[in-house]
Amino acid sequence: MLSFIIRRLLIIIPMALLVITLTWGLIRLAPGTFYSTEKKLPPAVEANIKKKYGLDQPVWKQYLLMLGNVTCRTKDADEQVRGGLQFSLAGYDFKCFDFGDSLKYPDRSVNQIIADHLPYSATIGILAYVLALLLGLIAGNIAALRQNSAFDYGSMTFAMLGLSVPNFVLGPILVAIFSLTLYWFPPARFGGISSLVLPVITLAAVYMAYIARLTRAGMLEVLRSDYIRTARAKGLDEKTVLLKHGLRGGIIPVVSYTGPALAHLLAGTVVVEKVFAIPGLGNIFIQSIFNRDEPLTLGIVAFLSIMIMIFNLLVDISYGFLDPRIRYE
Amino acid sequence: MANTETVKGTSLWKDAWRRLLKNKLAVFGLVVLILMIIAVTIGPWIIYWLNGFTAESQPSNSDLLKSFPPSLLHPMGTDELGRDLLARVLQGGRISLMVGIISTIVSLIIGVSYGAIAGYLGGRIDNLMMRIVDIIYSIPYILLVVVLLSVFGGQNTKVLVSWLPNILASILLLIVLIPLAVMLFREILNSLGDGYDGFVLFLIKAGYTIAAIAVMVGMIWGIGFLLNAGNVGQYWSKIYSTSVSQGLSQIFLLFFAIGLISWLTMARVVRGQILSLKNQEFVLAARATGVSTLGIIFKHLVPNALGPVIVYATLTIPSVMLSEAFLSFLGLGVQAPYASWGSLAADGVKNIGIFPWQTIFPGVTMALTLFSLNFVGDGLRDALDPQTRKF
Amino acid sequence: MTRISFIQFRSILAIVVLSSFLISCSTQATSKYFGQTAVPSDNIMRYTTGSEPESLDPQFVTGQPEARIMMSLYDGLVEYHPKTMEPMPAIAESWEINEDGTEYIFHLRNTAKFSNGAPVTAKDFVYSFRRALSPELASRNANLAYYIKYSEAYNSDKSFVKNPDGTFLHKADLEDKKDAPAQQIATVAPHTTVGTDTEFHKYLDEPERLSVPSDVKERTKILEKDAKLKAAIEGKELVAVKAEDIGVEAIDDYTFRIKLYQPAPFFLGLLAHQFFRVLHQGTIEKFGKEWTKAANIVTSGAFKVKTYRPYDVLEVTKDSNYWDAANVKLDGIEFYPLDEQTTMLNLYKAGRLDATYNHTIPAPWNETVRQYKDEYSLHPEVAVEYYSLSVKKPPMDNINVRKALALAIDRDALAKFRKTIKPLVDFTPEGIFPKYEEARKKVYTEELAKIGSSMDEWKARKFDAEKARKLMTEAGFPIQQTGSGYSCPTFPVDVVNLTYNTAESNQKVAEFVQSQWKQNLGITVPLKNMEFKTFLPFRSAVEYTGAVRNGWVGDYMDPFTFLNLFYSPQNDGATGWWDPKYDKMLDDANKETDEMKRFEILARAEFYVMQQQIVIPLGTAGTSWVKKPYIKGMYPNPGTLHPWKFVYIERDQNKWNVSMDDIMATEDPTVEAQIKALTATQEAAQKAKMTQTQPATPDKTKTAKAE
Repeated sequence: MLSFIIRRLLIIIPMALLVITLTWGLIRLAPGTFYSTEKKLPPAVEANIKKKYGLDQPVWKQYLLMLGNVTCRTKDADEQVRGGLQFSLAGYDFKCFDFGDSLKYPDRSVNQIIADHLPYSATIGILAYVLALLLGLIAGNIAALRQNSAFDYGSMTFAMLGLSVPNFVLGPILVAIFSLTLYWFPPARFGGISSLVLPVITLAAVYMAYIARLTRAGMLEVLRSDYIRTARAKGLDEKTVLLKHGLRGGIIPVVSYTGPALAHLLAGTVVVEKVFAIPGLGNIFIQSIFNRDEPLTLGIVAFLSIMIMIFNLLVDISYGFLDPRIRYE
Repeated sequence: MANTETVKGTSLWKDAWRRLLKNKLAVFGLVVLILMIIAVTIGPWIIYWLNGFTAESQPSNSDLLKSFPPSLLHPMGTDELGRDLLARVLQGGRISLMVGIISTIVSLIIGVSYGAIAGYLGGRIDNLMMRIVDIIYSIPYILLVVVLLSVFGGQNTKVLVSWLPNILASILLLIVLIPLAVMLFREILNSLGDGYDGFVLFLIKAGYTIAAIAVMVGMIWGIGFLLNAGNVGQYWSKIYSTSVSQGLSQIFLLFFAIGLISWLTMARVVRGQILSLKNQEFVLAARATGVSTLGIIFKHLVPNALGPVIVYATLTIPSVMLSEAFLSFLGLGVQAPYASWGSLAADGVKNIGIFPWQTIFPGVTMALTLFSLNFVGDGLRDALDPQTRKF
Repeated sequence: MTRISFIQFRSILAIVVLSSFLISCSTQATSKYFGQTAVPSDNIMRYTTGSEPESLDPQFVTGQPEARIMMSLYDGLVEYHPKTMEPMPAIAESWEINEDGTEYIFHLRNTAKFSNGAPVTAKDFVYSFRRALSPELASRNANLAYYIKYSEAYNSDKSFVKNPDGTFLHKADLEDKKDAPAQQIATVAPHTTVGTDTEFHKYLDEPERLSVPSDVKERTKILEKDAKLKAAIEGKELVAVKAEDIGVEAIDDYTFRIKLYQPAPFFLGLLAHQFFRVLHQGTIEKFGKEWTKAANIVTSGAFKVKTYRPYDVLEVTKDSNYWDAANVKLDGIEFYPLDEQTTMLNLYKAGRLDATYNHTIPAPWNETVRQYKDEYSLHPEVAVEYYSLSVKKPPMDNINVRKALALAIDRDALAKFRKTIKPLVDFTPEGIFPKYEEARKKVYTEELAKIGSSMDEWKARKFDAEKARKLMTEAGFPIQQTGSGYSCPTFPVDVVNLTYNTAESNQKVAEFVQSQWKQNLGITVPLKNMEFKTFLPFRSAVEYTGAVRNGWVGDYMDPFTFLNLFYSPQNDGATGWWDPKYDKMLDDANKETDEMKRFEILARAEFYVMQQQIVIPLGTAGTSWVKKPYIKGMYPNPGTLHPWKFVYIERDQNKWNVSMDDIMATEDPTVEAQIKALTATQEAAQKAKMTQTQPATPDKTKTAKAE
């Protein structure tokens, strides 16, 4: 088990580097630069900018510098460090994970931006996921236990609705009703509990639908399995059978779905952040691509890809606890 | 698939079909879908024939250049340029469904072969192949779309069009053929270890393997070359430039971009399925009777994993359509004056407090279709899984 | 079957409930004001400026969103007039301009302070200007200051050429003898000086020095092309142009002089731009890159930074150290960075936003919001929308094709559909420069008479489908009548495109224009939208064929900011067109000191370029923004740039109702008094100086009028 975890953790490093390299290549392939605006810049001004940001260097040098920034490299004497780790070794000063400053927002470092805006996305994301998990598990379980009942059809139809209405439609509809007609909740911006209600519901809708369906399917499968039959045959009361044995196996699909879903939720979902003007990481990420803000895009990609891989690993580990039949060598 | 499969599987499929028909929600979904496809296919012609409206025709009278609520002439109202919303919704349906279906086919072809190979071979190769999936999964696909749209949709379109077949071929080569080649190479090594095959037999096998690889590589590149250099290349460009002049060029790139992403999950699903199947008795039996690796994968494993694949495919269509809608929301979707359900809803929702029909009609049409697809997918899953016979 | 009907029932129910809600909120336009209208309890205004500001460094940022924020945080020599955007005194109490318009002297008020209490002196301005132009800052706005002598040389890292005798090589030394006299008049000529003559001023007053790139590679590149230049600088010492060499000078603590290398009559207006506002040297030198952090920043404007949460809110609060703090009426402003128009309007409607910025009302909302007369503003802007044409590539190289395409768009219908723009056939916006328009009318009448045309015919260029078809046929693309429409089978629609950057408004205009061309000419030009950053190089390098969406917002209140777009071979018109004759006209105009005469020359240039039809003007942009009725002192000026010290919150409901349509003419006693007080000190100082220096003869020095 331990060696499995260590192996999987180690492989994350080359994978993240590959992801960063590919992303860097894609950014460089895209036309346009971070400094291009509606107005054409005089050549002298453009030359100054290129020099300032090292864009006049050969491409391989720029690539190596980028790679050094995202991992570790020696620090120049007069260089300002903008976050990450610093240490000295064998007479050299090293710095690690310093993505530098954003190009579009030069007042702030990439590390700072991620640290500043992750909490917004995480708050909304986790709240939405908890809500979705709660309602989804309840609905899914009841639906599975009362298969083909009115509740089963009702809740599953409702879940389908969550899956079928894009959230960029759902959000504005909720706003039109609750913020602009009834004036119950603010229509946008982050601040106070009341401002969280609409974004959390909008975000939770899809996840709730998924979880309810996954739970229902998983529970149906488990309830037919041999070990539940055994448990019942042993004479355990129905509550223990369902909660201790049934649920444990039934939520495996939900758990495997939770890994990637949570990673995405932490990064925020662009649509909800856009519709409700929430300063989360997701929107900043999309904007950084449109702004050609290379360090910021790379920083967020590195952060996200590592998150996704770690969450996937956690999911794989949790299988072992949920289902004793699964073993890792 | 092979003929023998259909003979063997008849009762299974018949059985499944019977069970599907018993599921009323799935039948409802199926009926809605069929009606939707018919409406979307012939609807625009009927509207043109009846009223002379097309999706992009604007009234010449400048007083009519605004959004009118639903009326007899315009059952769904008009948009701000006075265009008939019904015509736009129907035409948008063509694009949305096309995006959904074509991208799903792309994801099926790549995902199934990739997942099956990884799952069957297992071990290091499986590990490597799955890590590749993880890596592609981690690359921001908005960035990918932006790059695709700009590199192919930008100034260099005409030159780069001829590259497209080659790029497609290269990607196929990379993600399908390399694992295939590795697999065949392993087979050679295995036969060497078996001993009793004899050296001559091994030589024949090796020769056959190398030839097979060469033929496959040659075919892929040959197609690319033909499309690129020969008359076919011009023909391709012609198709492409006509589509450009119809304003549909971005759609092709969208198929490509979305297909490129959506096969990842498909590959995972198939791999998981194959992993659980490959140690079952019928595979051992096939191996014992000397069926080749490829034969085992595509004749025995894939057909047995087909149930979840079909189900997953019906669920991929809605998610792909939502991806397209999301790209439209970001302004990277279908090219104006054409629209998709997603772009219509995204445009309409901005005016929801004032012209609600601009959101409601495309939104409801889209939701209804996705609804039906999800029902059909669920129904299929229940029908194809023999254990749920009680349902 | 029962189940199916159950589901149907549910969805029908959902739709009915939903639509009744939606209809109820769309038809409730019965109240007097739009949405929730309640005066905020504190004296703090809530405003949105568009996207997140790039930085709080006024010399680095370029966009309009940032400009509005910088206007609250920093003060400059002059400030925009809240209604007209003409320059009016700020830190400079008064100013003088010399006769040929190349020297400006500013008399600073001695009460001006930074937010840390340090006095603002002329030295601070010298520092700010030098920093703004330093190549290390690499500001994208640097070219705004290129009129200042040697600023371009410094900014682009060039060197002077020193002769062995210690003098410097002058630009004129290399020019042909034939041109020399003209050049002499332009640059050296006997000329008046304002203010005391200093050593530094003598150096600046010399003929313009020659400068060459300091970088060896770049220099060799230039020298290889120019043998004469190579010979002239061979073996001579190169002296890098330093910050100290540019034409800004602190004569004493409160007197600041700027020297231009050529007259630029609009330069004073340009000085209100955030790029020229004053910064605190000590803070920047102490904190380096970190100086803009909320804890470190020192500002010079009416407000100072209170809290800054990026992407969420920038809160500024009244600065008691500000020299005019007595007249700053708001206690603070909250700037919300918002991207989506719908979100802004929602917040506004819900009473959580007091005002928005220009072009924030989504087109379909215009009709609804327009009913609220006290809130919605629609006034002409110093901005135009147009399509650039690729004039060097067929079929757009044919002038008749260009004219036909321009004539086939019904501008009135476009304006009606868009609701916020005014139809336009010329290149400078309508209703912004009344004096220029007067001059233009005169010039156009003359010019048109010469070619046997008339003003009416010129105006008819707004839309003439008949003539468009005739021109298109003449150009070799015959148009046939087919049924009720037209067709033009020979027009190469497979090579042309109408390209625009992704934005809903751009898309709607492009769809409209496409449909117009289809209806009136039978030509279906494919549309192509592009992501913004992909679009920019595609447009500016004229890689497109056909037409491309373009627009321009004036940098200052002078028609030159528009006509300048086609100046020089590297111009920003994105058409590939360049004509030295046109350049000469613009040069001549700027040398002219009489305002009306200058405008006439400019009008001739505009006529010249419009006859080439290298662009298709579509409309003058309109302001289109909203403010709550209790917000006062905020005017729909042509650039939507509000000097915040004039803005206040009116708690007396009886004073709320002022229609935005005539708000410009309505006199707000509070604001008028404030403006009068500001301009009065300047006019008094000016008058005193006049009587003091030249009591007998009428003063020839141009006095700037802040009106």
